Amino acid sequence: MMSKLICPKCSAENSDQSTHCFECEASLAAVAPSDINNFNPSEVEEFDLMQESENDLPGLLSALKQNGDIDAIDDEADGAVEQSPAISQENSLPEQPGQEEQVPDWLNRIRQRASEEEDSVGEITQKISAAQKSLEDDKKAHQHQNFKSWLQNVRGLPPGQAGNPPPQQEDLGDKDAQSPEHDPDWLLRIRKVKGTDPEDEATEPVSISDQGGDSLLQWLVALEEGDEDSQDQLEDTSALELEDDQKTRQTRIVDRDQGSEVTRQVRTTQQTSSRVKPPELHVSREEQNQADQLSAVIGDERAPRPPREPEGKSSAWVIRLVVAVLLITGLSLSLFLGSGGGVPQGALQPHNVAALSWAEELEARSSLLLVFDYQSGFAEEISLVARPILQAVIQSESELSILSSTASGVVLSRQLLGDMAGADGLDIIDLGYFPVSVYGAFSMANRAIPQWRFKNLPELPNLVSGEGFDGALILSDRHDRARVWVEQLNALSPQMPIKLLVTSQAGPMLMPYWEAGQVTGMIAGITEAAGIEALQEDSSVIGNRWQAYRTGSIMLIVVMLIGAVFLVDQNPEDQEMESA
Amino acid sequence: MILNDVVWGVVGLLLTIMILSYLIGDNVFFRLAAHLFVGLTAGYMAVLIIRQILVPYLIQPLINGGWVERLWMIGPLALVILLLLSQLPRFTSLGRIPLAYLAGLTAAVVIGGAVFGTLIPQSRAIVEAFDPAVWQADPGQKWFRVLDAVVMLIGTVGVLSYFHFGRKLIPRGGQDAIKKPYPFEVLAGIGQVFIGIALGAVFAGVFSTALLALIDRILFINQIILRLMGAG
Amino acid sequence: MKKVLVMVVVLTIGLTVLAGYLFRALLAPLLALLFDWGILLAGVAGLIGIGYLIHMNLSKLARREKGAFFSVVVIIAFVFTLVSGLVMTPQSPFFRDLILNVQIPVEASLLGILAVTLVYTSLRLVRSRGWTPMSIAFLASAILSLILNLVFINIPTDTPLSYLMMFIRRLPLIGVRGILLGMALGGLVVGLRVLLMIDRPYGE
Repeated sequence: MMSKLICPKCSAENSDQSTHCFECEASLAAVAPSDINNFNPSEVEEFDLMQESENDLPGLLSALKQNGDIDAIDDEADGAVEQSPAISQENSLPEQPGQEEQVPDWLNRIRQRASEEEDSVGEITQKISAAQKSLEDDKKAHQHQNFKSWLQNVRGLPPGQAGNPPPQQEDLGDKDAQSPEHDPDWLLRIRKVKGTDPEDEATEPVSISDQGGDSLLQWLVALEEGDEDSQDQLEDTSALELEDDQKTRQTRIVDRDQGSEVTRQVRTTQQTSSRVKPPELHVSREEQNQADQLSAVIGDERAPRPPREPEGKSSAWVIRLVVAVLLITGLSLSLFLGSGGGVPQGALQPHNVAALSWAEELEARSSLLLVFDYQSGFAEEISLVARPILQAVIQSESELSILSSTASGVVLSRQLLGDMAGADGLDIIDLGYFPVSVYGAFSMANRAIPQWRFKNLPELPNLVSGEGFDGALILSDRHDRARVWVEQLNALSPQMPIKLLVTSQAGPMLMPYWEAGQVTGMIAGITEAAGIEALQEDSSVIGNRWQAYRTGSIMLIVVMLIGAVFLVDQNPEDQEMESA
Repeated sequence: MILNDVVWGVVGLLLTIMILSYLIGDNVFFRLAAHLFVGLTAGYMAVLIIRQILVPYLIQPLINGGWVERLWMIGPLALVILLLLSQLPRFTSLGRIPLAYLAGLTAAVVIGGAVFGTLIPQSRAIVEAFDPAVWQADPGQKWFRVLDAVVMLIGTVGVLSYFHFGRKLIPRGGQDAIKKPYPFEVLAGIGQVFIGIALGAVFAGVFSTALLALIDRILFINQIILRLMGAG
Repeated sequence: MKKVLVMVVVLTIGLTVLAGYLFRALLAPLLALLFDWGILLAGVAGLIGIGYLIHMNLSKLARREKGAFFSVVVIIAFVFTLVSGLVMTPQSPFFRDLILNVQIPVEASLLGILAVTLVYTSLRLVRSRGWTPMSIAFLASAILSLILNLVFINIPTDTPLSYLMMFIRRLPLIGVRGILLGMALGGLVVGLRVLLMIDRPYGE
């Protein structure tokens, strides 16, 4: 415990036993001893807003408000820091350490969005963040040096005057700091120690336009500061400020392109109105647009929204699990306890009949192109759909050229054909794998005509006989890829009959091609495959699957109806109409 | 051979259960199976590309071909080298040429397919539905065919109106810039209904496919369990 | 210079292929050559993509990021498949079993999850959108399509009811045709923009 007396006149340290200051001989009778051991470096760390709380630009700007204090700490940082009770009191002010938390919620949301989005507004805000980050990085290396120069820059002083203490006028919220008469004692003492005359520096107005660097950035800084300060502090001090119009002035932002004026209050303080020139901030049209956009986003973010009902995440999870259990149980019961019969009669469609007739009437030794264009997950459905046609094709002893436009197709083709009865002696030409469907389709259609050849061109594996194909079978799980094949083969080889063997999900989107005559036969999904099986009086393959399929579909219909009847939230417009 | 089937069956069973475990929430087993799938598929694709594209299209002609054949390969070889070099930061711009090649090829083939494979034949199908010869082909269905042709025309134009391939209208006399002309509005309303009908049918198709896959998995699990128990 | 070269490449290739639709017999060998080169380039581009995937997982592993264990799984699976595929052939029984016994269970199970999800989301189908012409049409069409797919009733042909059923079945086709035409027009516009170099997917 070590107490000292600080001279109120010259701020010199005196022992606690002294009655007069050893420097200026002023009386120390009325001075209370101050305990320098109470000084805690962590407090300085906290107080020095460059350290922790200045993670954002408003924090940095708030740090400016404490400039006098920080400089004092900076200069006395060698361990012999003396801190008056007044300084300690300032440290304990609630607004300083909690600066980060005082950022409004809407601004936090904008920052979050800006960090995630690449839009123009985000770009601007990211620019600010980048500037902040850069400042923070610099701070780590030359923390106090940088801070001084930054302050100097803000004050518009030349670099040579870096050692001068910072002006106190920038403390917008602190009305005591606006004139030397109202300065606190501790600040006056520090000034005395530093040999700074407040009269010299107080008259220099600080405006945003005085600061160096990117003007848009500063405009936005002002916007942020204005939004925060003017919201939080302006209200507190507005009465006082309105009385003294010298302390507030308006900055005109002139859009030169449009001639429109945007007037904005930039709160600065000044001691001598005669020395102040009204600053003019010139903003380009692009900057103005960007700033307007940001303002619009801010406005939108701040707009009141109807409270959203919290979605019960856990209840959704439970409902999904219940649905899964019900569905799987229903399907399992149908599969293992079902009768096995009941494959529908009359499910056949004209396009199914056309495909089947074509396969059954196929001439012996026909040349066919088989395109395997489906993923492994759809192998079972495609197998059900393609089986009757492929069986007929194999019986005709046709020459099959197989091609894959999906990676899985290469192995799936062998698996599917290997499962067919009588496939052992098949004459199969493997045309390989085409990583892009549309290239494969064009190549096949293009090569299917007699043509001249470049001399000495290397032989490539996908050469097709110039006589073309007697037909093409496209086995596909997706309408967009099947469509590519239909389009290219139709455009280049319109005479080639095309049959589609596709999944239920691809079927509806490919129907127009059947209607327009571009496709001469098609089987899509289990229903149509079941229809063919029923026609062939063989229910050994689809059998129980059909029962399970029915069960699953009925469950979906019931759930959709329940959802539609009982779980409809009314639109706000509907509610308004009803109340009207 | 039977042991082989059992081993692969167990692998399939485990993977099926691991993926289906997602129904009780995201978990480590699901992720494990998904990452295994990604790695395997990437490896498989690499094998296919090397064996079925790089070797026959580039390497074999270069190794086995004569001098004239090798000369033919200068073009594709240069494009491949440029594409590979473009992955180095210093040579990124070199990648533009092979990419421009692919862009030109794809754009042309898409245009050709769209025009000759869809636009012309599908438009012709709409028009041909109004051919009186088609109506008279089956006198019993005459009125059905007429109705069908009319609804088809109105519906298709309606859907296209809903898409509205046009520029944003320039406001005149205070007119709303986004508002379409009245006939477009009416047709777009009709088109909206037909799009809803089409998407409903597609939804039913997607569900059918997914349901069949689920049924297949249940059957598979049952089959493997029975086999492991010695009953299958 | 480079820009001009790129322009020349796009236009030459694009116009040649387009001309091929009209003068097929004349240009077929040239087009075959162009497409073979295109297939080769697409393959190399695919390899580069796979390379990026593996590189990403390797760097994740090197940085010991969260989920690095799964990167190990990806890399091991990749290397094992690549080596087996290069040592054996894609048609060899082991390799085929390896691919099919991993891909089929995983993909089919994912589709199974989709089925459950679709049932679950059907509950909220109208809830989220409210009653609009499109949502009513969607719901009615989905339910009707499902019912028609189940083939509960066998309607005799050439009766008024069969015509009505045929008409109902054809209703989705109208919307689908419109959508297909829309997609074709969209493809045409995008293709033209690339050929006219309004859009430059290959970079500026």
